[in-house]
Amino acid sequence: MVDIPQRPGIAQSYRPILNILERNFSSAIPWVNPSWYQLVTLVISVGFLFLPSDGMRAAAVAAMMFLDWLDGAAARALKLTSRAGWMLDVTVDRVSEVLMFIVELTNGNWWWFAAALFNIALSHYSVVSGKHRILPLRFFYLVFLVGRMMGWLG
Amino acid sequence: MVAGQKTVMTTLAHALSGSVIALLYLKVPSTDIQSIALTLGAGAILDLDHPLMMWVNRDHFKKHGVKGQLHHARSFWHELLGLMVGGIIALLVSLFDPRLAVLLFLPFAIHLLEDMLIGKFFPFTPFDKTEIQLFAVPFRWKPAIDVFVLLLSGGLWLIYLSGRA
Repeated sequence: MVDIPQRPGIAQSYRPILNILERNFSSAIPWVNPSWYQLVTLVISVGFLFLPSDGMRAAAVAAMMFLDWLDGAAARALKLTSRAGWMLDVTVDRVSEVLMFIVELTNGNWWWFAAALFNIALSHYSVVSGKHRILPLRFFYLVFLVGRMMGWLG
Repeated sequence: MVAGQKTVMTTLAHALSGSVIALLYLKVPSTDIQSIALTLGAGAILDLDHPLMMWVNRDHFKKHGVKGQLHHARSFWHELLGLMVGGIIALLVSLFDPRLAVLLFLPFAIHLLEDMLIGKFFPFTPFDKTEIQLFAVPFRWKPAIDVFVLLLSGGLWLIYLSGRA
């Protein structure tokens, strides 16, 4: 859809791999309204507050990233892609990030929470400019959590 | 039913649910009345938006009535921009007291989340007025949703107050 803000080239680099996955697994994608995947993402985001270890948090972040891909794939399969659907997806992702990073804010790692707020500002910029300029914070956080578990971060 | 009527939760349901999640998360002792009051207030304060915006949009409400129209009685505080501004305030408070920041912000964020789950919203207002909704929840479901949230929160409050959390 032309009215959906477009991602920059660097974020398109992994798209062919996801397209192959979508083509090959499209029959396995449950044909449900993508909103159900987004609801599960939001429920996990609240549950995230109560997870006791980085390992469980990393698993939850990976699950949320998978659900994010799944809701997009389901929307494409069901031909439900639209600017409003993109906005809904972006909104759910931002709310989810803010809730997740409350855990880091509590522990004094305020920069993750600040990054989530910055991503909200970027989301508004994306809507106004028509260019998708949003940081993949969940991916960065997953790398951070794995790094912390492995002791790479001191 | 007026066209466009949608469900919104009561302030009590918002306050009780947001508050207990914050209290359980921070493991606040059930004797800490000040923190409990603070989280209840933080969970409810967003609804002060409604009377103010009902006055601002009074022509709409004269024409359509109030019932089920509260998504027209919201300012930016009920949208992503409100989450960002509330988050910035929490971030500043966290520089002095991270626990207080979470006590104030988490119930507020849960309130926003609940409104987004069951109602219409305009996430990018004032920059874009596109109206979206996660689920088209009929207005007649409002009492059932309120009772469900109140029961769920009530159960969590019992766990919290009994000290078993």
